[in-house]
Amino acid sequence: MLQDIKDRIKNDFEFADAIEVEKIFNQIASFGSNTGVDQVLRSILYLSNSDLANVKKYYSMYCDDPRDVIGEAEEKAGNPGHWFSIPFDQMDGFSGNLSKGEEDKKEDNLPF
Amino acid sequence: MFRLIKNGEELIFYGRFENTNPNDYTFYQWNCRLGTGERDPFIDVEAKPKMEPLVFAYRLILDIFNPEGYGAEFRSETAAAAHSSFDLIGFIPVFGDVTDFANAGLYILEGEFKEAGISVICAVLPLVGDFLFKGTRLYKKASHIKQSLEGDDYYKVKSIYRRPCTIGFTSGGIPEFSPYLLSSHFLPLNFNDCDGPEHLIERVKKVAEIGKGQLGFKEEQMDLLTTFLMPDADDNTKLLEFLNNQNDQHIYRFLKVWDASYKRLNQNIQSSSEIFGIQKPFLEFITAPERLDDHLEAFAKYPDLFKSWKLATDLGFDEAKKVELFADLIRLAPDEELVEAFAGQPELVRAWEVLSSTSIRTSTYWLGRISRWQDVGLNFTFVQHGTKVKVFREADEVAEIDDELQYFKINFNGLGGDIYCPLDRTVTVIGKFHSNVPKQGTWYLLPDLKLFKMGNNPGGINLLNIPVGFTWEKNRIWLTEATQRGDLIRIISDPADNHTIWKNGINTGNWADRTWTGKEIYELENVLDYHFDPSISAYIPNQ
Repeated sequence: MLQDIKDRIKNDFEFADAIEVEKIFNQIASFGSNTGVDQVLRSILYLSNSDLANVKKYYSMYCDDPRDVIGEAEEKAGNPGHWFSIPFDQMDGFSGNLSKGEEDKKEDNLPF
Repeated sequence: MFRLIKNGEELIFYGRFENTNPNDYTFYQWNCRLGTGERDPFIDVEAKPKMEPLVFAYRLILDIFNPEGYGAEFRSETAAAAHSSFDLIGFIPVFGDVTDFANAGLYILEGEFKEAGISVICAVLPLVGDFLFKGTRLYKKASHIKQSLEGDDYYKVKSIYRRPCTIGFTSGGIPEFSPYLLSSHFLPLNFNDCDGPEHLIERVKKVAEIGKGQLGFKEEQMDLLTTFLMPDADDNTKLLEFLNNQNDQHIYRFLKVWDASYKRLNQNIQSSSEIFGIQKPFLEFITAPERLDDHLEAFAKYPDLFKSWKLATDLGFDEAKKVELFADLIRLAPDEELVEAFAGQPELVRAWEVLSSTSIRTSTYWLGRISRWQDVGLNFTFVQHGTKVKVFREADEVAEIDDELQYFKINFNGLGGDIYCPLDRTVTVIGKFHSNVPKQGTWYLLPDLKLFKMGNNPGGINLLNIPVGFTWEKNRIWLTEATQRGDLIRIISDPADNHTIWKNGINTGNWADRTWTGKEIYELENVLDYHFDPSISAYIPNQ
C-alpha cells in the first residue's frame, strides 16, 4: 500500500477503524483489479468521508466493478481528470496530464 | 617444461610448471605478435585480462622462484640440464676447466658443496678428475634417467599429438628434440598422458584432422575438441566406439553440430565437462546412422536443442520418446522462440508428451501459446480427451482446445456460459468484475485465471486491464479499437438487467448513474453502432 494511502487512513480514521480499513484494502489488493488498485483505494477513501460504513459500501461496489468506484469518485470531485491515480497531496496542484500507462506498450500480436 | 611454438603468424612462448600431479600445473603463454601474456590461458579465459609485459614477467618470476610453488621443479629441471651440459663440456681441455668452475659455482648456489668440490677438483686436475669423478656422476645420472623412463613419473612421450616446438625440457631434465617438433597438429598438453585403445586414439586423430582440415577449427577449438574426445574417461569410450564406426561424412556432421554448440554456448575448458556431459548422449543420438542430413542441419543451426535433450532426459523420457520429441522439434525448429521454450520449460515438454497423440504436437500455434502460458507461471496441465485437449488448473478444468474445429473454449458460468474463441478472431469481453466469484465476471478471467491479453489476441480473450492511470477515455479507446479490429464483443453480464446498466439498479437516465458496463453498452449502441444479440450473448455491428 502506498504511503499517501496509509497516511490518509491514519489521518481519517480512529485506530480501530483504521485497522479495519487496512484489512479491507489488503483484501482489495489481493483480489486485484482491472484498473490501478491504488486508484480504487484512494477513490474509496475519498468517497468514505472518514466513515468505515462507507468504506464497506464502496468495497461492495468495488466487488461489482472497481471502475464504478473510481468513476463515482472522479464525478464527486468535479471531474478533475486525475481519476485518483496520483497521491493525495498532488491532487490540488494537478495540471490535467496523466502519465501514460502500460496500455501504451506495443502489441506483440501473439495469441495468449 | 618450457616451449616455443609458432602458431600461424603468431610466435608464442609458453611454459608449463607441473606439480607432482601432472594435472596440477601453472601455464604461461606469451604472444610475441600481440605483446601480451597470459597465466593459465585456458582457465577462465573470459574473466582473465591479458597481462602487460611487466606484470607477466613479475608473475612468471614469482612462480619460478616461489619455494613452494610450481617453479621448484622447473628450477631443478633447468639446473639438472645445465649440470649435465657443463659436465660434458668439461671434458674439453682448457675450455672445459672454465665450465667446471661455472658448474661448481652453480652447485654452491644450490648448497651442494660436495658436488661443487668435485667440479673444482675436475677443473684443477683435468683428466684424472674428469674420468674419475665426472664419469661416476654421469653414470649415476644415466641410471636415474633409465629408471625414470621405465617409471610412471616420466613425462610420457607416447603422445599421439604434440604441439610443435623448437626446444623443450622433459621432467627428466633432458633436452627434448623429438620428431614431433615438426608436427603441424595441435592437441592439449594433457593429451600426452592419455591412455586408451589404440584404435580409438587413431579415431580421435581422424576426428581432429577433419575438424582442422574440413571445418577449419582453430587452436582453441581443437583443444576443446580433443579434451572432449579424450578416451580415458568411461563415458567417452562409448562415443568414441560409436565414432569409430562412422564414415568421414558422419564425423564431419558430428563436428558441425559440436562446433555449433561450442560457439553458441561459448564454453571454456573449465565448464566444458558439464556441458559436454549433457551433449555426449545427445551427440550419439544425432549422429546415429538413421538421422537424416536435414536433422543434423537443424541441430547445427539450433543448439538450444541440446538443452531440450537434457530436459527430456531429466524428465525421464525413454529413448523412443526422446526420438519422437526431437523429430517434432526438428519440424518446429524454424520457430526459434519455440525451440528456446522447449529448452527451458519443463512444463512445455511435459505438455508435449501429453499432446503427442494429437495434432497439436507439431502445432507451432498451440505449442507457442502453451509456452507463453507456462512462461508466466499459469502452470496448466493437459489431458487428452478424444480429439480435444482439456486444460486444467490443478483439479479444475478451465479450458478446452479443439485443434480439429479450430477453437479455444474457456469454461465460464456467466451470461452465455463458456466463452468460445475462434482461432482467427479476438473475443473482447465486457461486463461486471464480480470480485472473488469464480467463473462469473471479468475478475475470474483477469487477476484469477490470467488467461487473457489486452489488445489483439486471435483465438483468445481481450480484456480491459489498465493498472496505471485508468480513465474513461482509455476505456473508450480500448472498446473502439476492439470494434475496429472486428472483434467479437462478448458480454458476460445481462444487459437486460437494470443492475448491469444502472448503479443501484435504478434507471435515472443520467450518464453519471450508469455503471461502467452501462457506459460501455451506451458507447456500443449509440456511438459504435452495435446491437445486442442474445443468441450469442454478444454485441454485433448494425449492418
